[in-house]
Amino acid sequence: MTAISSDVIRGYNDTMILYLLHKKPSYGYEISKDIKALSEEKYIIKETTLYSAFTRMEANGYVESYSQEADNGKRRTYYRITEKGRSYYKEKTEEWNLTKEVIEKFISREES
Amino acid sequence: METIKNYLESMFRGLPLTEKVMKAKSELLQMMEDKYTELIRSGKTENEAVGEVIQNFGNLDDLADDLGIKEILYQSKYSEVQRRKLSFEEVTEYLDRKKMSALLKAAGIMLCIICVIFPIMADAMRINEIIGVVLMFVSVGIGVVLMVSARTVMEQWHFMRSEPCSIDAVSIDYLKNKNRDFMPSYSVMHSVGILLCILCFIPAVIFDEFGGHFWDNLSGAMLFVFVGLGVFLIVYSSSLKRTFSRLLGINDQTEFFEPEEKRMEKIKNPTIRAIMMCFWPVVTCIYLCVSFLTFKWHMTWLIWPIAAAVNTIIIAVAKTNEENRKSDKTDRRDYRED
Repeated sequence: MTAISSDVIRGYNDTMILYLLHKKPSYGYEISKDIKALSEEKYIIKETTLYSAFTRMEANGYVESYSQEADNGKRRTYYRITEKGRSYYKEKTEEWNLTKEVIEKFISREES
Repeated sequence: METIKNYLESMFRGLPLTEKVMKAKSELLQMMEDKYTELIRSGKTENEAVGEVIQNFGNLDDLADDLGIKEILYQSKYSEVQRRKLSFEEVTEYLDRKKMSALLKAAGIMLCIICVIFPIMADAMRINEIIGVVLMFVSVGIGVVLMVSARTVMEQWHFMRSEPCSIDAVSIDYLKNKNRDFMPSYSVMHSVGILLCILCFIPAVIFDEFGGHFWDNLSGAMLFVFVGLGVFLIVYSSSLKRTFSRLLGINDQTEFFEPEEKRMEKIKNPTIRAIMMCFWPVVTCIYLCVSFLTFKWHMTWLIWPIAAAVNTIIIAVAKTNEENRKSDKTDRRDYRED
């Protein structure tokens, strides 16, 4: 089975996370769970990768973090998307569409 | 869950505890905890859940840039090579030895403090004062022997002070547990020790009520017994505590002492080295013999300053001799080359 190369997907971790935060504020584990579910278990994001994406995006002002009590009474760090994050997400989708379009032209369909 | 915490601990070991690092650690733990709880709830066994969580943890290298620990990650990998690795057995043996050494040292110091009670008690019971004085010196003698042997016990471990060493995660966990178990007894010993030193005058106050020569003396003796016991507890407990913190921090240790042997080895001449090794015991012996034979205690203390001066002179002479010889050798080599 082919697996996703982490080099390729690295540039799009942010896109996936922002997509999920678009819908509702969320926290670390929920996001990793949603990514796993949406990708039909084809991509599992590592904890360190996820945390590094959070800190980077927070530093760039794409997301904000806040602490909130979860259902089980524990304090959790939640993240929500900012305006800047929304426009960044838009940029990234456009970039991906272009990338996909270009790469697609070089993928041979004959042997499949 | 304990396993996951330990795993995270070991990943972050040796990193500086900056705010960023601490935050990353707690956030990662939060994520791992959530995942673990859900896996358990979905019917996985503890082992499976732990395995899955650890497998998907990732790599700290991912965070190196964000946390500003890139250099440290590189450095610690690099310096690990040069550190002498201590096995688990070595760590436990070191701990046992250190315990014994601390006990000997504390007991030695205590004997030196309470030695004065013998003349006091001899006076109190109106027996020959010579017996009291002799017992006092016996007590000091034993005390000194104990203190010297406290060092000898650690003989083979001197390298730990001068060489960079490292211990593995298993030993660190073991030490942490031991340290935690020891903390309550440390607090008790330390505070009782301090209390004894503070309350040392209590017997004097109580015995004062009885009056009389015997009780006066006894209260004086009790003062030294209290202080002696107090110091014993303080010295013993704090050297054990120091041992734990030293061992736990050994992986990050950057300052080292010049090895003792090397300081002695600077004197190459074997005869002079042998003399220096037994210099102070011999001086002590001379002092005690002369003092007891002449009973001129008010004069014999002069032996000590004189001995210290002689000691310095011998070392100085030995060093200059050696340097001369060294330059002689190089001179000769120069000749040959010509």
